[in-house]
Amino acid sequence: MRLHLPNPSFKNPVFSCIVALSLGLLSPSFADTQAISLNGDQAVKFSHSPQMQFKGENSAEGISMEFQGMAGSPNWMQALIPCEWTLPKDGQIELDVRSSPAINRYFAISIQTADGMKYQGKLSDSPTGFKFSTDKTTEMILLSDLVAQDGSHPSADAAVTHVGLVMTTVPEESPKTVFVSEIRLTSDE
Amino acid sequence: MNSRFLTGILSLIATLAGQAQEIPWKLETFSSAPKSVPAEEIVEEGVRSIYFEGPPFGGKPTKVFAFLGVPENASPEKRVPGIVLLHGGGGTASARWVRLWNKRGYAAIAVDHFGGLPVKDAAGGWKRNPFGGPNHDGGAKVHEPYENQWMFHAVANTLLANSLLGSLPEVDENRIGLSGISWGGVLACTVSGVDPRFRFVAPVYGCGYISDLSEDGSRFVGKNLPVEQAERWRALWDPANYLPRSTAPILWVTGTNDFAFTLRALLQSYKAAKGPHFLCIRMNMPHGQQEGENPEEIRAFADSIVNDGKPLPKILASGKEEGLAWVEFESPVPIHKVEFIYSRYRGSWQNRKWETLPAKLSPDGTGRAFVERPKGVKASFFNITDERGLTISSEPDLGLK
Repeated sequence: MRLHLPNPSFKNPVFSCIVALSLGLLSPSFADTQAISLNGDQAVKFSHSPQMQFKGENSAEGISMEFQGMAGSPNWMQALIPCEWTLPKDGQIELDVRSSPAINRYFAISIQTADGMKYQGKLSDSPTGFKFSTDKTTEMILLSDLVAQDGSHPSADAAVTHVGLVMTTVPEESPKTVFVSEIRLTSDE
Repeated sequence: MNSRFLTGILSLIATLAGQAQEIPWKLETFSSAPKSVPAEEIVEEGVRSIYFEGPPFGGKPTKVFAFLGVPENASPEKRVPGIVLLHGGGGTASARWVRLWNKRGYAAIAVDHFGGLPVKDAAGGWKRNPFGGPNHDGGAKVHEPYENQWMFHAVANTLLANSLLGSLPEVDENRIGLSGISWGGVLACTVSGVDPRFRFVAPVYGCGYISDLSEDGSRFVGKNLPVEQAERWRALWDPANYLPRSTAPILWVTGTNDFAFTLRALLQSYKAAKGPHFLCIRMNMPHGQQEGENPEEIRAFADSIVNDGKPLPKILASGKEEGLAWVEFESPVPIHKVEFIYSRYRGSWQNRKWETLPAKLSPDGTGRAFVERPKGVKASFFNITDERGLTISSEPDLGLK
């Protein structure tokens, strides 16, 4: 089930659940989807390696990251999005994504929990990287794919404060753009 | 309305319309062997280089380049089967591929269907054939007459190549098949519904249902076209329009994560064709011309139809119940292993992660294998490998609604 609640009110999970329950959308046991509709309201923090060209934006259409990798430089970038998620025992993070033009790049999702831990997992096992399409696609990573540097996985009920989009790129002749419009945490419970 | 439902309805209407309408190729126009001449400037060991007459382009006759090879032991008294070979995007006719099939005992013709020549130009691409037909146009010319469009020529030239190969005295015209790689596979799907003379068809990667809007990465054609052009391409050229006419046995070969042709599009194509059908889905099969030439399953499939070869394993049924996934099969060759291949992911088919579990063979030798179904499986199929090392896949359960 997908639940779209207007930002920023949904950031308060208690309020979200009350609204959802009053709409008859949820069973009382657990909110099975916690969604971020990226619409410009979120305080997204962009960062990138210093040499590369990069422009990040959060608008009514979602997050866009325009970039051009440079030769002889690491080329990484990140969008860090605040959230107030509570992790279920089993579940996944889904996101709606596209690019212009179609590209293959390393693409990962990270979460930061309230205790300061960071967990990350890549969205594709392909040696050529994640395939971005010019058509919007829905992508998914299991919570069990998220790993911290010490090898640990996030625990159930952990409070998540930020979700991150992490990319690396290669030297490019022209800029490329990746768009992300919604990110959802869904539970299998 | 749900967009996928709407797309499905539109696809169904387009498919039905495709079945009802007249198709662009009249088989009788292309069923006689075209005139051919040697292409003396292009030399490859063990094969002949030729030009054959193709349909007019821009009001002028065309000469289509092809490599042609016949096994040494073939003769009018000892005729051999044949195969037409269609290269992938960015490619040209492959002499290596012809030699491979000659070694397997087949006459073979590899056609350049992009209006090119197997000679590198200064920029490292394939030289244009000055007398050739159109290059691949990506649908940009879809409103022009058929005769100006790549797909029309590429299919017509495949029919002509069949006629030419079958006219050779050493070749049995009733034992000719077709294989194509990537865009050549797309053509092979269309041709399977146009030319019933082909005794077997083996598309590698390429399939139909590649121009429908989707959120699972299945749309391969039309993304960069205006909507009206994309819709016309769908109605005219998507193999989805021709596969329901196909009655030849088809072996579909692909990878779980093919960048262009998704498992969903493949499954739709597989179900649309009316003849006997087999699947060979490899985990993360690389997409390439040489990778697409080599699968031994294609040779065994061809041999089983036109050469009295031992058939591939045949899937009889597969399913899931009470926490188990199972498959039933029969095979003339003992089975080496059965694997359950599954994904716990949703999303675009190109990016899904797949895992493998060994399945247990029933000890009574009844041709049944099963596996405890892992939690959270979103898509799955079985791969059955016989002692020849040949693999056949069960129809994938893709969790589609």
